[in-house]
Amino acid sequence: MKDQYSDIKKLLERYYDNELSEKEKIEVEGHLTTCTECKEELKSIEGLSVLIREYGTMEPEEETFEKVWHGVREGIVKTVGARLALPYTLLLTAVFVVLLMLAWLFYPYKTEELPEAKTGLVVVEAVESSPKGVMVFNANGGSVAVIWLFEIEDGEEEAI
Amino acid sequence: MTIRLIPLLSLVLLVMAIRGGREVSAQGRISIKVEAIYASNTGGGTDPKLSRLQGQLSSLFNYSTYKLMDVRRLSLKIDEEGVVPLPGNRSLEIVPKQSGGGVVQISVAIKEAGGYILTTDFRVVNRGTILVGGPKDREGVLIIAITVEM
Repeated sequence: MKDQYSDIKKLLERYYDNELSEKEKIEVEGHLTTCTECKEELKSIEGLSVLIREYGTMEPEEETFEKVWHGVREGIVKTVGARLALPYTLLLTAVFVVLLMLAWLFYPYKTEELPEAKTGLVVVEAVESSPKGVMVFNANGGSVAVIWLFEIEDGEEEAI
Repeated sequence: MTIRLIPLLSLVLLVMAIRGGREVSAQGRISIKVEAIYASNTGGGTDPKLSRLQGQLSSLFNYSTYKLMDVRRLSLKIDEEGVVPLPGNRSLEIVPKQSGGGVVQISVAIKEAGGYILTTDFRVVNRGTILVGGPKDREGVLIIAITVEM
């Protein structure tokens, strides 16, 4: 009897949902005519179902909705933000590198810099002349340098 | 990640290639004009072809005649030697040694039959002129004007 009660009790939810075979249905209905406990159990299942239907179709209150949606939004931001963070950093790095390279590219290029002419636009750094004598001078404010060669005869320097 | 870096690396290589190209062009050729001038007191004034140098010649030297005998234009790379024949069986050897910041360092040598009569190094800015004079030529002297154009 106890075993039959346990078996039937297991079938009650499915009976209520009309999911039993005809044979099981006849067996459950037969048992319900004699078992008060199972009748009560069936009633409680019916009551629970009614409650679920009622609350399951209820619209959430505005405040509750805001709380829930706030949580959902935070979750989305965390997930998507984490996905976007790496590309965004890469993009910023790439932009920085490109700007750096453009600055390098268009900065006036300088070869090994020669010191600027100190006394003018032309500077004679070294002169050697043999067997002639040599005279070097700048003129026109340093814009012209002159190297003048002259003959040396008998110990006398004859500038031309 | 590797795939994402490919465009960036390509860009780096492109920029380096362009930059390299600029470096090559910056070390490009240097134009040098060599003018051989005959100066004397034989009379005849100044050659009209020397109008650019006329002021300098007349203010520096006391010759009455200046005649342009030859003009040679050289386009030389750094350390490349150019040779210009000069009147009187002479020759001028010129070598740009270094350039940068609008200044060129140049070595010049003048050679006669008996050997070198002059070797000199000088620095000159763009369009600067150096005059080398004194070697005798007929009744006058030879003046060589070397002008650098970058």
